[in-house]
Amino acid sequence: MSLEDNLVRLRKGDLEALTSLIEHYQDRLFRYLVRLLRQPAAAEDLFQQTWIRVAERISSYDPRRSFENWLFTVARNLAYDHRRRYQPESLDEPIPSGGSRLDVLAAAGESAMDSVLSGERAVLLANAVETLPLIYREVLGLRFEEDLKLEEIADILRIPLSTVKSRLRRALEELRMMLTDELKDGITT
Amino acid sequence: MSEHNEIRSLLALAAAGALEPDEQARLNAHLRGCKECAERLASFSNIATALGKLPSAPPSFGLAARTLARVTAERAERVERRHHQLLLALLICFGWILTLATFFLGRHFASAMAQIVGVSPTWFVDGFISYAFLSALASAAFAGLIGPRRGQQGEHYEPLS
Repeated sequence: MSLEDNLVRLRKGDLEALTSLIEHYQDRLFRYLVRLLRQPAAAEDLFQQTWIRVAERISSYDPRRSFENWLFTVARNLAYDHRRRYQPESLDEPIPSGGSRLDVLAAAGESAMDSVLSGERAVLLANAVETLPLIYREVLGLRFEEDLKLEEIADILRIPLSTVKSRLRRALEELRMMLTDELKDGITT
Repeated sequence: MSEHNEIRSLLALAAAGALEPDEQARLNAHLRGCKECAERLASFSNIATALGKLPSAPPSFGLAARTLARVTAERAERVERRHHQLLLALLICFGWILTLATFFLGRHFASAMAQIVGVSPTWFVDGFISYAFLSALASAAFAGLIGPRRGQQGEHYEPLS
């Protein structure tokens, strides 16, 4: 049964249709929430709340819009509410200008420098991403992990395309600044 | 801003595949003669590739089933809550109607009732007015107390299993 069929069934109140929708989006939605919240337990709770919200508000979903975008918007709104309530750190805290953040990484307890030495560069990159503000983490996740187009990201985040681009550029530049030394050897090797 | 600096500001977006066709053409032309920008683009591309392969915690086993169970329970609770609210509204309406009916009946039969009970008709009417007023007040207080409590229950989420 196609995604559209399941959406039609869900709009008619058939909760069984949720099964395949949840399974279809499970990995991506969960990964997105973990990236936003950094805590798998909180991500799991919000994952469930997202689907509760979807079941409640499916009648207000406009079928002309991508369901995927709508779903991620619902999840994002819940994640932002959650962070405002339980992790009151600024959502758009600016990246401190100048200076490398490698010292922050090294002091993070994950022993980032050791990771570099042992070749675990993915861990180093993941740690670097973790240090970025939420507004940069979410565009990176949507673009590179979820492989969404810039227009789709703008739709999910409800921001102009130009803002998506500027956040993407600043996030990548910040990451590059943090990882400059490691890049000499090629981070993906 | 010089051409070189302008192109430098495009490199991160180029690695993200976010350039417009004309920007991409300008970048390609510049890269043929600028080793520094080519190396910088390569470093951004390395990061972009690695970002697509970042490790991430997988969802725990049975998350989909637990989610469906929670959605189903939530919906059942919402339906029950709606029924309770409806029932509450009906009870309050019934209370008001009964109070008003009692008041008018009381006034109509006050003289006869006062004679049977052996008190003055004025006292009897006053008694009925007080009774009607207190009943209406009790209904309103009941609605005020129970209504918000039902609402709060509706916002409560069960802890994760």
